Amino acid sequence: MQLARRAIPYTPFERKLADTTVALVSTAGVHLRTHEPYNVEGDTSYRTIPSNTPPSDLMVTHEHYDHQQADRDINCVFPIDRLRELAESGIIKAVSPDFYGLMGYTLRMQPILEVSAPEIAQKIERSPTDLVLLTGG
Amino acid sequence: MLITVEPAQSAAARPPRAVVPVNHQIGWPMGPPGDAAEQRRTLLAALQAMLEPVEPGTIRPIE
Repeated sequence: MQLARRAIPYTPFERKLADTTVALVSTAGVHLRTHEPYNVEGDTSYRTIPSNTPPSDLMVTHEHYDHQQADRDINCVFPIDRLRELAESGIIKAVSPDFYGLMGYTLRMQPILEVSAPEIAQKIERSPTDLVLLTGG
Repeated sequence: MLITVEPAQSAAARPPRAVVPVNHQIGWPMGPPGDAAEQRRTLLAALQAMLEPVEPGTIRPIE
């Protein structure tokens, strides 16, 4: 895999959590109920999920892990409520305006490396985000 | 910061920073459904791990 041959990117983190705005990116197959579902046979696309989305508006489309727990509580894989609570209590500064979802199953890595990941990174870089949390299923 | 319950698979992608919540499983890396306290604890441990410098690529267990 091309990514694994590259040097590991690393950026020192020198902020206090209370000064940190956090974004969430997940490969657990989370998306809005109004979004087009992922193609469970393989999907390299991503979905933008506003960080103020109620958990009841979210669902999982993914057939490569058992998401019964996440169906009951999306925070098992996509801790959107927990992050908002940390922001409300001042432990972190804020949540970013948008979070991002992908379905972590595809045999085509190139579109992830060349399209989806750079697009997500660019959108996050243009947002007031200091730290990105990544979760899987 | 990656939160993973599949450290061997995640290591292949060489994430700069990663944590493994001990005793969590595929399908609920943050904690069990309805257990907001455990999910919050996992989240805080992952955020706290950001404050500690590590060798890039290190995958650390969090209790």
